[in-house]
Amino acid sequence: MLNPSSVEFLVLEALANIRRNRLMALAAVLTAGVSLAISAGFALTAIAVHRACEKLPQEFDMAVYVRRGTPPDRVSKLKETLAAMPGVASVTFISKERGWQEFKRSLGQDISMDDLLYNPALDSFKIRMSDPRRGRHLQNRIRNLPEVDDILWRQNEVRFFTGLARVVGIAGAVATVVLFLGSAFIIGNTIRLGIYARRREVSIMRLVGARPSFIRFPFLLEGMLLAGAGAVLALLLIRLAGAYLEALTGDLQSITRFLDSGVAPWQLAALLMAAGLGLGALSSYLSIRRYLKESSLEAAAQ
Amino acid sequence: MRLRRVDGHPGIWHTDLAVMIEFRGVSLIYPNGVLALRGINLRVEKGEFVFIVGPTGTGKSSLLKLIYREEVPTEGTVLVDGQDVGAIPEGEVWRLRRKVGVVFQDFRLLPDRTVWENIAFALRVTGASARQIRRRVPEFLELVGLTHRCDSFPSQLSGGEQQRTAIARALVTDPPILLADEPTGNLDPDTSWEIMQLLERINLRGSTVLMSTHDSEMVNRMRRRVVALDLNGIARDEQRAYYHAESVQR
Ligand SMILES: Nc1ncnc2c1ncn2[C@@H]1O[C@H](COP(=O)(O)OP(=O)(O)OP(=O)(O)O)[C@@H](O)[C@H]1O
Ligand SMILES: [Mg+2]
Repeated sequence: MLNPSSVEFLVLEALANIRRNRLMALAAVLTAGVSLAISAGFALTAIAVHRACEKLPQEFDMAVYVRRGTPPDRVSKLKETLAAMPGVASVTFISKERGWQEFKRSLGQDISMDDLLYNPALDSFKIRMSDPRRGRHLQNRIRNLPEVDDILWRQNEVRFFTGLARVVGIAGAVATVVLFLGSAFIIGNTIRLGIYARRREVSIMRLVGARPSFIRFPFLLEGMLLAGAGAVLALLLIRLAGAYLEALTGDLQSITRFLDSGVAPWQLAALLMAAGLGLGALSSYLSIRRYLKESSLEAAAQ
Repeated sequence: MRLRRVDGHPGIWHTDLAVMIEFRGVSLIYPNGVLALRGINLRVEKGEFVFIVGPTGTGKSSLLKLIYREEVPTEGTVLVDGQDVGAIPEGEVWRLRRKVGVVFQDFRLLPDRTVWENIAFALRVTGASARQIRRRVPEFLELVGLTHRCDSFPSQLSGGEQQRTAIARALVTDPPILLADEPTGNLDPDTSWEIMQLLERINLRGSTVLMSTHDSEMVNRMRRRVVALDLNGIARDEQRAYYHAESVQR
């Protein structure tokens, strides 16, 4: 439908709008960029926390130590009892000899929290939970069994991550809504100023019978360019923040090792760009639609 | 097939008596309660030239606005080329606007574009190709006699030249109807007369022209159809008429 000269005309109009309105355009790019970066930061954290709880249950295995001197038949009975409990995915028996071997082997390497979970002096069961976030219930039930000496697992980390997941989820949702509304407002106003500066052109377009989609297009393009530039800015900000965070928490491994969202850089870039373009298109669409509804052809007269 | 002599032009015959514009019992009340038009019945045929006259505030501009759907009738129906204008959905109004060229007393040119660009603008925004633009703009520059001023900006033009530019812009997309709302209201008598002759030439090319005016001398000189409005509606609708009814006796 559009011929090449129309496309050229529309793109040039959009660029002329941005140039005419440089300061507002800059403000729009900055707000869109910061908003997108903050929203994406929350989203990445939420994804990382979710992943830590759901995708890495082995990090939250529970070690159940058997009381010294429990007869072997009671031990195998205990295994059956444990396996039958709700929330238990699998149970592995680790004899005190094997526990000792593993402990010694790990001494040669970096010592991580994993290694400290095994008390080599006792037989134990390693329980893989189906949902570590419900581990406290399980722990309470197991603790009452007479054969059980002690239970070790990362309950503090789980509590930390569950709490974090909740806070990050709520704060992220609130922040995303507020920031997107704010960005939409700023972009919409930038576009409004652009429309106002070009009210004569717009009213002549309407008078001579330009299609509404044709009238809207340069403003939509302008909004998408601004928010798209915001998305690029957001990507830069996130990379900077990521590098800073890494430098800051490099030795606090127990926390940072969980904070991997698993989102590839290109995925993040694509998502940011899609969110930015959508935000830009929507805010400028609403802006121009409102203008076309409210204004008359008389705007050309001023 | 019916043949009809177009009024005032012995050499021109219309084979087709298509009604181009029709008002059926049209009233217009503005949101502020002003009754701008009441009980208007009017038929304008294809190729006609019609003066709309009347004292200020009797609704000449409003009548024209109803034709290009800047206003919608409060009562009655306005038909343009057989289509009920008031019933056109908002998203389809552009189709009507391509059938109706409009010029105003204040020209409404884009100040930061040259004469050429002002005329080309109408083509660009209606999706014309670069080739069509290169072909049609010179054609209409010549029609309005502005070929030599095509690189001037509106501020460098006389009022008459600005109005010629506006007329070329209104016509370059080939609408069958031209509406002119006091097109000579800002011009001196000589320039007004030149614009009048240009509009007549455009009418002879086949456009249906409606022109509102206060210029009694010009109307009397032209002797075309005159629709006179007063506060009660159409006071008079006569062919080959004068500005004032009593002028006929003179
Ligand atoms: N947009 C509007 N809102 C409210 N009232 C209006 C509007 N436009 C015109 N009117 C009123 O409607 C009546 C007719 O106005 P209109 O402009 O059609 O008259 P006109 O014959 O063109 O006058 P003039 O000769 O001064 O141009 C006037 O009383 C005017 O005040
Ligand atoms: Mg008027």
